[in-house]
Amino acid sequence: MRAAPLALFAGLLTWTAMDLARRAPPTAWAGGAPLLVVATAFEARALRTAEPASQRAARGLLGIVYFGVRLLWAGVDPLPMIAFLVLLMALASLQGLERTFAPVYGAMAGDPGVLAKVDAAAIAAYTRALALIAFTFVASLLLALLVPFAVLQITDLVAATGLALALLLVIAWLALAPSTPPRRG
Amino acid sequence: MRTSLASWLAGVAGTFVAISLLFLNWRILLLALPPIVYLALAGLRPVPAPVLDVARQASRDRLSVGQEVLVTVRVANRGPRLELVELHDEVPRELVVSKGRPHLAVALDAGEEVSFSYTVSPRVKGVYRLGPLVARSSAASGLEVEEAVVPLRTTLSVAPRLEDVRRAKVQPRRTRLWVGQIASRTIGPGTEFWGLREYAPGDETRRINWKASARFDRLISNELEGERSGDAVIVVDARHEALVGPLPSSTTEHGVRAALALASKILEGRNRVGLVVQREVLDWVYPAFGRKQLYRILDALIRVRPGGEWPFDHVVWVLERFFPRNCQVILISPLLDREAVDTVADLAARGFPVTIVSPSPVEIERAMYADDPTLQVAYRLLRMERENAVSALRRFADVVDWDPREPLAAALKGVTRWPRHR
Repeated sequence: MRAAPLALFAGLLTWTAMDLARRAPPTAWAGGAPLLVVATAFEARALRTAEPASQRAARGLLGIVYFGVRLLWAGVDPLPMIAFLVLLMALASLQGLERTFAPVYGAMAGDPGVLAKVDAAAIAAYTRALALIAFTFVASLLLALLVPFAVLQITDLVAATGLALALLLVIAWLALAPSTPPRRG
Repeated sequence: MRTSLASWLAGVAGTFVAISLLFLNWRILLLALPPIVYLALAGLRPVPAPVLDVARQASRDRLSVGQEVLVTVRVANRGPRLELVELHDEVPRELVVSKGRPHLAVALDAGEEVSFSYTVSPRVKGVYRLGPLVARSSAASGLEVEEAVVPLRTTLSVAPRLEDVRRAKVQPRRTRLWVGQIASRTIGPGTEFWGLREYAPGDETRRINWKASARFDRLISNELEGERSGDAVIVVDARHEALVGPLPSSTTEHGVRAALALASKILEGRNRVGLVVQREVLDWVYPAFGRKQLYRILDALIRVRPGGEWPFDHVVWVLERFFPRNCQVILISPLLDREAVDTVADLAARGFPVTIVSPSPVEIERAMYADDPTLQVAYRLLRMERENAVSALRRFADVVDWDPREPLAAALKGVTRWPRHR
């Protein structure tokens, strides 16, 4: 339960460090490397304290370094960047589930009936979360193929700004709006 | 209700949209897609609010500090299926969870029941309430939660530990007319020999002293020392100024423990015992006999929390007006301020016999810190100051300087019924 998010964090950290070393100039290392060290320190702290704030900070720093290198020096390559972003979201999801289940397992000695129920709930929750992440990745790739057809038609700045504002409104609505109410009856 | 993760994802998507506009690069816009898709997917399947029936059972509702109580919580789902629900039973900070955990994460079908148990052990006496139970149903995405609070409470009354002070000689100095166990230095019903007198009609045959009768050639009866009971009032100093140390091992907690032990001991001797506690409010229990009175005192002591800035001489006012004259006052105070010392002198001047049981704040503070030569010097100075204060008080009262790390019975060994200060 703790190993999966830790391994994923280590993988993302290695990926970012390799990107930084290969694609960024040595001057950028001076800024990027300390940020990665700080991200690792936050993650190490979160391992001890299970603080969501430390985990968020570690993920945020990792994202800033990776996307910073890509945007400023390596150039935008949507496929690996989308993959990185989805993996970062998967990390957040796994860490959330770890915070839910790890304390429960830590104190469940000698109650096999309840333990079986917790096991079933944990397996189902992890399966659903990973399936949702996988679906998000596939759907994003499909949409990434379709978006250029719509976006490339726009040639003037006013239309581009309008599209951006419309997108921002959709994002805000998605973040704030309550989900569809359940069916009755 | 959306979680903070939803806001973060929206922030990330918005940032990529803004950057794409800034760089005029449509490829960057594609990076906003994963968060948008994730947010949209999370909104498709709503999270039902938990509708639960909860029953909580505690293995006992009255216990003493350090004892364990097993709490079992049964939860039945009366609403739709909950794919992931976290159940969290609120436990007050003063109760330590020693086994299990008041937290469970499960899936619950409609009508399904689940129960979980945990053991708590109180560190400090008091009245505590377990609950409410908070149920938090969340989606697989982690973007949405629904919370329900079940306001079910279970009360636990935690009494201080009862010290064994059976051998201590703490008792009222002055007696009243009621029969008791205190030798009263007067003739009356009792068991100890007092003197001889001429037989009077009505004397019991067993009280005739046959040897004396043979010597004087007339019937002589034994006279016995009357055994009577007295009144004692225990005064607990729980003011804010009298608080030293962390709450579980503070002067107030030790004082309460001593008060309960002394009340129990004096009541066993068929005496009347009352209680005055000076804290945020000045509350008191009028003197009475018996086991019921012990429970009344216990109930009052359980609720004692340090606090309040009232002048301590209010105690004298209360004792003078509402309590029997000349009752034995047993003051339990760390004697930290001048006011406590003045109050003792005032009580003695008004004719109250006073015994002081003082949990030593110096020893409590010493136990809090590791051995350090600098602190040793400070300790010696404080110890000297305290010994001076105690010697000054011994002119008015019998003082027991108690190191709370040792049993109270050991400290009470020096207490006699007729102290030397008078």
